[in-house]
Amino acid sequence: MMNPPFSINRRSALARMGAGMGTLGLFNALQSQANLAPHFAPRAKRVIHLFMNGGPFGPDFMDPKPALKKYEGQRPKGTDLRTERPTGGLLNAPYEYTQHGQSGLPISSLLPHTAKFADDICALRSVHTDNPNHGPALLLMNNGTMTPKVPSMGAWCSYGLGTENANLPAYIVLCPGRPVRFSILWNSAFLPSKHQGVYINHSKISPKEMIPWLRNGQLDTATQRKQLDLISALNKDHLAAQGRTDNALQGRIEAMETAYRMQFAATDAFDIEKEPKSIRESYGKGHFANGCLIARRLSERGVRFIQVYYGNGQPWDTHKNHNKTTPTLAKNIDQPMAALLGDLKTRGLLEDTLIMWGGEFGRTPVSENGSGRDHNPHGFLMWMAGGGVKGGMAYGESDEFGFKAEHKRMHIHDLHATMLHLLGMDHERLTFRLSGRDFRLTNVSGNVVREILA
Amino acid sequence: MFVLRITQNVIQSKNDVKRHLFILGFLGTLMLGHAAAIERPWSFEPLQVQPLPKIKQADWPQARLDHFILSRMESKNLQPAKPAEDRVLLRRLYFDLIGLPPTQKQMDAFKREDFAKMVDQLLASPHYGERWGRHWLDLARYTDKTASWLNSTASAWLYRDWVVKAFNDDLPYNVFVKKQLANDLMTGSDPKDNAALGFLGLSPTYWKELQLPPEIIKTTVADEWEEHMDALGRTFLGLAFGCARCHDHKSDPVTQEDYYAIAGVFASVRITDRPMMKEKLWVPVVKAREKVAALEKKLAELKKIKTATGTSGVKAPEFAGGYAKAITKLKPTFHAPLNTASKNLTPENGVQILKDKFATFGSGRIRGEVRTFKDAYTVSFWFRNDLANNARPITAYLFSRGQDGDSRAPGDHLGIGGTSTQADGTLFLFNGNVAKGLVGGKTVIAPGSWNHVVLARNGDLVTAWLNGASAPEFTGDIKSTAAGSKEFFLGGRNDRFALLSGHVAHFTFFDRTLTAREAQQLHAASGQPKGPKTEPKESAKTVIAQADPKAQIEKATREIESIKKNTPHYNMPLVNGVSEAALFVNPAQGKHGTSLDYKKGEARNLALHKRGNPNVTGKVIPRRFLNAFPGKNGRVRQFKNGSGRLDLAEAIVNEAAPLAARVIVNRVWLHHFGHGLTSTPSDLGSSGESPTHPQLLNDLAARFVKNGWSIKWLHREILLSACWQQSIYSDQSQKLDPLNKLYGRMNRRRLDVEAWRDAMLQASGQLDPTLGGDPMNLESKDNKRRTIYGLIHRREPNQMLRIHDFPDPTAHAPTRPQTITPLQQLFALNGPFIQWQAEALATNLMKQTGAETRVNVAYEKLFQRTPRQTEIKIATAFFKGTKNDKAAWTQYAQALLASNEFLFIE
Repeated sequence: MMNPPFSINRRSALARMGAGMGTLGLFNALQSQANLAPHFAPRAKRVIHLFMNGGPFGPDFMDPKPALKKYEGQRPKGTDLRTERPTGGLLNAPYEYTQHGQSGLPISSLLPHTAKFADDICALRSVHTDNPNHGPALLLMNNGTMTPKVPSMGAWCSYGLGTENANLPAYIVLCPGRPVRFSILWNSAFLPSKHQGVYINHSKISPKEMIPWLRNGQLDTATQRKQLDLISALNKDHLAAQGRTDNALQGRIEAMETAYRMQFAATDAFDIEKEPKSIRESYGKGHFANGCLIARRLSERGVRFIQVYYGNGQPWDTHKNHNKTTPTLAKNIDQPMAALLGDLKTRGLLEDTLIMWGGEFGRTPVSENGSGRDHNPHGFLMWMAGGGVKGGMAYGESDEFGFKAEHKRMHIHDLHATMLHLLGMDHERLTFRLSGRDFRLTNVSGNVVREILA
Repeated sequence: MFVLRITQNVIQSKNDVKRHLFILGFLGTLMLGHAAAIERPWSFEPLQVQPLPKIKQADWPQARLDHFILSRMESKNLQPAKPAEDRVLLRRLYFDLIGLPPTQKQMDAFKREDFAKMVDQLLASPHYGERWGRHWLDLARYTDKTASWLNSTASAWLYRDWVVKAFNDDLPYNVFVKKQLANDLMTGSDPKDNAALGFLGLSPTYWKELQLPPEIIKTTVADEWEEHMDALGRTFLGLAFGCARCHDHKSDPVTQEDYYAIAGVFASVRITDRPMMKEKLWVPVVKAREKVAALEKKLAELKKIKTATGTSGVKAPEFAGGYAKAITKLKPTFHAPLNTASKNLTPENGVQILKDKFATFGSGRIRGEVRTFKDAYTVSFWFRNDLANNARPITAYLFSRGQDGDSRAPGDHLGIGGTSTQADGTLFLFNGNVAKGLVGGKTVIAPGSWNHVVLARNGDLVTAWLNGASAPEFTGDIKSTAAGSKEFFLGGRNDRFALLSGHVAHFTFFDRTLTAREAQQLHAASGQPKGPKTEPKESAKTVIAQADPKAQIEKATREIESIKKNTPHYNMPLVNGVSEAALFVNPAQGKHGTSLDYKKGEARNLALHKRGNPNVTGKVIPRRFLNAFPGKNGRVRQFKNGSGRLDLAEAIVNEAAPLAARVIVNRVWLHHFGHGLTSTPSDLGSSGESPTHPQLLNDLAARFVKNGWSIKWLHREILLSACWQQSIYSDQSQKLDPLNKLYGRMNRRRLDVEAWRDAMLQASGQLDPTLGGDPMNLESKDNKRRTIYGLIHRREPNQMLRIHDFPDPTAHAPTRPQTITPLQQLFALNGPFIQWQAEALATNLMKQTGAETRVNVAYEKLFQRTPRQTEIKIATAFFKGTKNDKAAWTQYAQALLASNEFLFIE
């Protein structure tokens, strides 16, 4: 019963057979069910991506910029970079910075809880992307190109590494609503559809409401077991009547059993009501807190790639009243993130779970409408923790105002290359052949940023 | 794809320089090595009927293709498998051609010697086009909904239905190709076939944020051209053009110049809604529509003024405390007080939900949708109309159930009568412009007064209660015409007709028919006296003060009605097509931003984008066909007529006919066998897989062209062969040739999701075989139509389709992988669709007496055979003590539907 689910996605098989694989692939691939292996020893086994959809402003959190106050309201040289909308003078980020931990990593007063984990955090201060518009930037961050027809990074990870838990999907997306571009951000495109992210709207926390068809609305467990035994008996009889083995038929008999177990495994995995009160309280309340807690439960159970979207639409998109909104947003993420880091650490999971935090781009240091900040692709902040990443450090530098990545610039392709590297995969070798071309997450570029590897 | 986005990637660090230099070097090497290294691919060679190869087992072949197959088998000492048994063969044939299994009766009537007749009969079935049209739609990345920013009013399904019909009519494939690219430019072609342009008109488009500079937008536009090039190249020619956007193709004789020569065609067309009639006749309709649009805009403005002033003095009735609680006690599906945003209701433009007050309407509606919307339901709400009752034909629609935008308006529409109804100002219910059923009341609703209404439907019986009166305001038999629509609207009809100027509060929806007592409770609990609630004087004044805009509103409304009525073909549906217009991406006049300038009727040549970057251009490449395919005169066809769409289409099916024919022949082969003669059906160039039987493909393609590019001819060639009629069992072939590249047996195939779902509907006796028309949501219990008619939305893929390998319609999909995953099995175990079919099947089985008969009938319905002894034993064991238990039969029925035998064909 512990066989992995029927799988056709051996990298080698696909590279050989390309998109033309039909039924034959299905039969053939069953003969080799060995686990997919990474290219080299991985530092991380899984990823939790905390996605601040809409785009946060780095200097609010981990990239102090005193010049913002000094030149507030002015447009000194270097602040006239082109963004989406017209902008005005500099807008201050009035949050006090303190150095934290052994490392003394500066973190602002907006993240008092998270700051306790300063020595685990690697602040990436020089990330940059290609387009200041949500759609393309979301696609570049999640799918590695700006056109909506290639697989998402989670799908690539599932494709490359498979799942550690046959009773759960390898790639799960938690979002209490619908981000811009919606399902394209977790699609599998030309990869087999089993790699697409399973989208869970966790605004209702009952597992039954989260996952389609998870539970049988009509039969109790005993009756359902009896029915499954009936199906199994019929299928085995059908197989016997063939007079020979058949991998596809056998594969489906097993997949049926896996599905049956998944009903309970997934119900259990998503049920945060099962957590002790103290743990629930440590994460705090709200969608994001619940998302972080579910993410921990899923990572314990071997889910490969988990995304927690901050919220519906693009809540970090502060075109107005930036400094009024940001403290609330920060408050909503701070305690849950700290709880997640602490919880994973206590359980010994942080060392092989890579946490990635950030939006699709950043925001401008100059103001929009006087109180807001526009989209900023030129340079922004992300941070990583766990999973083989060096903690207590800041990588790269943005300019004086936090507008443009200046030193050790890190493109999204570099971010993806580094992420795959931590997972034990060479981004140039994780490919899928289509129309005579080897497609990959990083398109034709991307460098592993070795300096941040622990 | 292969593009350097230098525009935004302005080289800013050493790292970047390194990256760019690396790619430059890489591309340079490729280009230098190009001319010498590239050979003409096998698929480009002219078509020629091939001599038959020598074979030993001369009595095996039934068709020409068998000679080629057998000859290769014999060279590997392989024996063909035995012919499949009759039952297996007929099921295989039915699924292959129409995507449905035969009935037991058809099975019984089948005689092997009539096989050829059977093939003809199925090819003549209208269901044939549904099956094979869907295969084509995978290639065409078909969607029912286009991007929201296109503002298209066209009906995408017209393209789907056109494709289905083209297959049914056996439209010669070369014409089929041409019509999809250029029907509007072909002399003497029927404008109705403009629906074919959906291949281009439904292309994915990418959002172009015009606040961004033109350098960025140019990249997005070039990405769109690449999308079209990719779909065109892979669908019709089996060539991947994408690579050539940045550099000459690595292995195929497709150069970067070739790419821009053809991309120029796409730079000269614009995605547009097109009529299915001659442009000349259409001109007056366009003018009329423009006029109506202008009038509607004006109307909206007028109404805005009105609503703005009207709202200020309006007060909602003071509802008793605990009113909401009292409503909830009656267990509604939901209750929206409308004094705050509701998750169940979405206001359209112009509707405001005023905090702690009510929803106020002027130029829009509130849209809602419920999971189950049966013909037993009830709605209850408070409303206030501010328009005079004689202002226009219908004073206002208050509640409307029906599909958004359907001007035939099937559904239930509750409104206040105006000049066109018998009594101004009275409530009525109307069931659409086709059925035209109407029932109404007698109480005149005074403008400016608050009223409470409960509308309840029970099958065909409709009843309304007004303001807590014990006698219904009206009741009568009005046929339900909503056909399962789950959408409804407040403050306007489903087609936006007769929008309410006024207010609504406390909307409640029940998925059952309330009793008269319950309906009265809904009023009594509000604490309001029975009868209408009149507003204080000053509010009434507000209404009167608006006399001026009101007159204008009336006038504009009348004008709109009159234009619509007096313009022939005003409501003709449009198709998603393209029209001739050259696109230029320019800086916006003034400052910041971009303008997209379409020059109608013009065409343009593109300058080569160096390394795919539209901001670094090279020489201008005149539009023409691929250099690898010169015409008979030795010269490459130049595209001179307009955009060149028709020239391009002609070149594909003439100069490139060897390639185009091989591509489609291989696709048809693939769907009959489970894999193609080449395993990369959209890449027949050098980078694709070589064909297993090149002579066979050449011979078949050559004869396909000779036989008038007839797809039905091709089916016959394949289906009447000994090769296709083999059994799936051959230990020898399984052992020596596990991938079955030699065709020493038939492949076992997993049904695709459409055939699987359709077969379930047929087995449960519920299949609605209606052809064509509007798509329908696949989640609806009432959707018993074939799966091809399920709604396809690029951004909101249907869960069932997605997990069953249905392709992502954002890109051309040459094949579907056949995965078997636990999520699919969750659907089989727990999905409501399969449970509904199991229930219906069980109901049918229960009509039989005796468990054994029931089991027999079930096997007939699902597998067209009698059960084996072992299967009877399994059933007997399962039904121990529950023989007459409907629930047990439902579980059994579901088990059969979920079984392997039902999912795989032999």
